[in-house]
Amino acid sequence: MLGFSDVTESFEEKRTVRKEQRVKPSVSSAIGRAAAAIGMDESSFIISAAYEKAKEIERAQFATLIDPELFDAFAAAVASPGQKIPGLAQKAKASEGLLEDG
Amino acid sequence: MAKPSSSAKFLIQKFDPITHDRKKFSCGYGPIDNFFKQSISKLTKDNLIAVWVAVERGQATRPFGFYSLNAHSVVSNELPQLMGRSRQPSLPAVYLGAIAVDQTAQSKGLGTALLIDAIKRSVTISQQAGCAAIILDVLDTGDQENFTKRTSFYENLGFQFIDKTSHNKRMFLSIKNAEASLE
Repeated sequence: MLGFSDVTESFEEKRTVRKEQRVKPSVSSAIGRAAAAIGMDESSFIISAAYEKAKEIERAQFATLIDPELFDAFAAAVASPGQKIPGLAQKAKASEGLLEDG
Repeated sequence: MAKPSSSAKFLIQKFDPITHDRKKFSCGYGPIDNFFKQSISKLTKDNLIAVWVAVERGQATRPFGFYSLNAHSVVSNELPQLMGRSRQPSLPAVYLGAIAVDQTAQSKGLGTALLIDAIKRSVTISQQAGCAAIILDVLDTGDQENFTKRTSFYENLGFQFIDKTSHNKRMFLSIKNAEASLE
């Protein structure tokens, strides 16, 4: 069986906030099937999936977590001596005079 | 960050929720409009992001464009015990979270000017606090043609995908390349 646990279950809080959404029937069916496939009730499945997505988005704004090989390539790229990028230099020149500190 | 030219059509200002009236702003993409109108007041108040707005000279209350920046880290997910002693576990960066121009001011170069301003500001941040790169996510609204256009635009400015092999849309520009190009 595929594993998926309610990550919010361990929170020492009661479920006191009510959230209601209307969903399209096909979406509701898909959620129901997936929750059933892993033996989870729909409510917990929706809450946990939404919570995990929320955390993923918040994390992604403040950090990029990557594999060591990609990190090494990134570190090497940012440590390399600066090279003039013709496209950037040209756009910067073309933008002069349109925007100023104010 | 923009050089004072005393004749520029637009002025760049730090976002102020009292001065800048966002009601009429519409870039044509709902989620960005919602972000600008509903999310940034709290995020800036909490110092999680900084937002810069472009206003027209002589009409300083109405923003015609904006961008947001926040501190960011690029982190290796390698376990600490496997990490070589010489390797830095993470590198600081600036994240360009959103950039948009009101529909009434589009196709006039303001978006590019805002992006250049964001890059220049990131260079200044690097000089003052240290950061190695500017990071952004290419906006994907589900329209492949527009996504490809946006990607090409950023690539032309020197941005590269962090992971070319995945569906990840995250790109970076090294601060050193930005500095060398904006001298």
